[in-house]
Amino acid sequence: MSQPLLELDDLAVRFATREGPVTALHGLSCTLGEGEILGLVGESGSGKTQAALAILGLLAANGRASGQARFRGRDLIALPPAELQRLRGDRIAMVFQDPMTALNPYLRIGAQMQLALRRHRRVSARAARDACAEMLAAVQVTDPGRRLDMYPHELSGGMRQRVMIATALLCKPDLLIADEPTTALDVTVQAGILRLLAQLRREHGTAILFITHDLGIVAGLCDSMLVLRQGRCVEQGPVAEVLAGPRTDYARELLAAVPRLDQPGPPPVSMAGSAAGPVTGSVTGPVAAAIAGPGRGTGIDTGTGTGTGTGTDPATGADAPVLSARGVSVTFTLPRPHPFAPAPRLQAVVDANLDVRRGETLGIVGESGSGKSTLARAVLRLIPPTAGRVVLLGRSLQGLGAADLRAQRRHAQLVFQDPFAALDPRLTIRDIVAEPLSVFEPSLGRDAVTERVRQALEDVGLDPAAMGRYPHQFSGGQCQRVGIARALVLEPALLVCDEPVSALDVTVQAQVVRLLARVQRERGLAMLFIAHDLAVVRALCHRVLVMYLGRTMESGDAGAIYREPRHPYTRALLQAVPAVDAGAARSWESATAALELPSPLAPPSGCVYRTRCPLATRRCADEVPAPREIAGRLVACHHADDAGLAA
Amino acid sequence: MSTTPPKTPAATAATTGPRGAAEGGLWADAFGVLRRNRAAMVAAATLALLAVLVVVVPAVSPNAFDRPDWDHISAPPALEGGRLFGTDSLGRDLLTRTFYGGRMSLLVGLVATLVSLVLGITWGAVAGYAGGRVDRVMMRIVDILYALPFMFLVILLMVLFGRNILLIFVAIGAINWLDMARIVRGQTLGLKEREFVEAARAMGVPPGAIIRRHIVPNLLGVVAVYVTLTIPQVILVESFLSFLGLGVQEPMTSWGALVNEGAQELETAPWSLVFPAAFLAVTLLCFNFLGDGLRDALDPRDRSAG
Repeated sequence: MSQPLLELDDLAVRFATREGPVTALHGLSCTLGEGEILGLVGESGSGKTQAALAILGLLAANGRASGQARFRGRDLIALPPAELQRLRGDRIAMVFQDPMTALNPYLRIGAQMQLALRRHRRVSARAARDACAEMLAAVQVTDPGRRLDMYPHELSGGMRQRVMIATALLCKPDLLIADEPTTALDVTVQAGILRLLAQLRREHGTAILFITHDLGIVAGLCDSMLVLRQGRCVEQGPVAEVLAGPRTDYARELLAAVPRLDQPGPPPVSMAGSAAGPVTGSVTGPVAAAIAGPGRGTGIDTGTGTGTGTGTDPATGADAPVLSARGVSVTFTLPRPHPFAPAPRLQAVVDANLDVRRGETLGIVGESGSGKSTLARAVLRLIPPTAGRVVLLGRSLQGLGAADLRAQRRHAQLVFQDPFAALDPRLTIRDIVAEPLSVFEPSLGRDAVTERVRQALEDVGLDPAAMGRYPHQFSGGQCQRVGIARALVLEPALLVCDEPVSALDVTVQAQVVRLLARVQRERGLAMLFIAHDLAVVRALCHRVLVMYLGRTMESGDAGAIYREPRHPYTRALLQAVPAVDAGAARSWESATAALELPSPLAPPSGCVYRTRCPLATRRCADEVPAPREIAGRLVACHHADDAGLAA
Repeated sequence: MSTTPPKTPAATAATTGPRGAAEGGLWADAFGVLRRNRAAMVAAATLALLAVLVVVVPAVSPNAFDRPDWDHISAPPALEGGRLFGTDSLGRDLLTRTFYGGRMSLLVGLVATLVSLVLGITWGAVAGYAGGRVDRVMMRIVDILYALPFMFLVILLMVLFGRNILLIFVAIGAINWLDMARIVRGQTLGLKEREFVEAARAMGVPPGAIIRRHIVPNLLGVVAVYVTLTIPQVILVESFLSFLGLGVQEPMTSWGALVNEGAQELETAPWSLVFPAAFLAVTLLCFNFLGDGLRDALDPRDRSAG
């Protein structure tokens, strides 16, 4: 090919803002040949999306692009809007990150897909419809004819992203720009989308500009890559070369920050050492007292209801779990579809059991909709469980009145997924971190509170001088640190982290993971860590609990499960994770489980996983598999014994 | 996506030290935006000037607002004797009366709005946060009150208790808080699903404190806008009541009452309509401009806070 398909030459993007001009992208130059896949890698704010928008002429009103972006020799930047419009959606198509918001909720899928096609091609409505159905089939949407008449909300996230890709491909573009198309999706669904993109390139020769922050995807999908940092190109070259020998520090740092499945797990829990060891010098009063059991605690929680019979357990020793849940179920009753229908019931969590000990992290993993967040909230009684028993520090949380329950909350604190949403935008950092103190230690004076806040902020690596600022003045990683400081300021015994790093950039993610690991080691915290990223879980968790449709599939020692998953679902999850190593087997290419999650309102009979399971037999449909102990863990599968052979 | 400026490429890897040097919260930001809105700033200045004038002018004027001057009945505006706006059919100085009436109108606007603010925010925030049966009962009460014919209610109160300025404050406030309660409840329903509210719950913050610390402060943006639109509405309602003869009692007056009197003498003494009407109109316009400006300033989508 003599002329590259797309040639960027000193492409720059500037924005006029109130604070003056901001350069989002400095002189980016690269080429993309026909049928090639170029990975544009960078963290948030690196300008990778702006580069794509500049190519398409879709920059915000205050943005200006300079330099050249030659598409088949024509400079897109200088092209009049009308001509660019003709090109856009026809020769160049784009897929956006969030399939949930990229589709118009008021239009049927078919009508939506046809917009681009009928704008660029003279086709009859009938032919357009056929073309759409054909394309949906090509992107492996089941039952395409019926899907065309559906509305976006009737489709799952993965399906919607397939619709977006199908729409983009309708005019058989030469270039597809995909802006983080799988970031909002589960790993198993992501694997399906990646497989699809690779196949499209093979079959149609579509070149793809793939924007992502995930080096694992780049390693498996792209031919060449380009690393952006703060609007500058840091490194570029063939994927294999860059990943094998990154030349710049930033690329090395980025690569090192990627959590890996094959990494060693966290250091083992040392029960004896953590109580007296020098490392744990910071396990101070409240924690130690709380762990010693109620009755000798700090007074606020224990004065309320000891002796009710649910409380003290004389056997509460050092190795008794901090949190113990037995048979926890959560069932939501949904609004009736019409006045005489029975109210539908959604079983979000079914019969979950878990124990978390001091200094130990239990990871809860599963796809979205698996009920992992609901389980965490149920054990904290933020959502009332419909059945089951939860014991926190030897005290049952059942039957506690609202005030008693609130008093127990000081021992179990929560860290949230979205660092911005979890902080009240109208409060200063000091007031945010001080809030738990104002509830549980109202007698503290102003200065004492400030001192505790300062301490907490220092513990999480933030400059205490920032106390007077507001959340929006911080980056996501910093806000997450504030959230962690707030959770730690009371020195709880249990920390529940609900996807605490999934909204963060990979380097920041690595820092926060390290922070959590350190805090846990130093304080002997018990941690419940919810995540969909199996590699992050590997880095932090001692034990793992795998959930699917509210049921526990497999639970046990993390090392053993990662080495040798026994449940087919666990195996599918692990296979779907893109590996970052250059030349590593593209494990997601062979990943199974591309099928849709069944509706939790009507879960499959027997084993809920059987509709996606390659090993499913008659027995799986008839009989709910009881959890069995196999190879040192609990597995709920009829085929767990021979699972290894069949894979 | 396409309308927001990009996040500043600040050092995302840096872990300490906040970015941006600006101190101050969302309110400070909003005030910055508001200050650049010329219409809103002119409106605010005008309102401030009016507020000073209605207090000062009746106090320093040589002519009392309620003293008839039998030599100057329906006198046209003149420099002589300080009767810049002329006099009414009883010979009372219109300049003094206009500002005196403004005092009453603005007071009604402020007090009635305050009543609706306190009642509406409390009611709406509690109903919205509590949810469930409490919410249903509280909002049904609001619905029932909505269904009462307001004019009928006011007339009934007038008949029962006689014409009383306090009654007007209460009556208007009691009607307006219904809107406020509904708006606040709607906002609260959205706010209570936000993670920082859940974070507070998980921390063990009692419900009352959550409403005070987290819900209400985050509502104030919307409420502030609504208030600037409520005040003119209340002034208008009072004017309407006074126009019907149900409002303030002679010799006290308000812009509504003055417009009513002026309208009856439109042909013989047009100035007695023009001046109070002009002040009323300017005030309403100013509040509306200010409200518009506030809405723009407090709209988070307009700001690159992330």
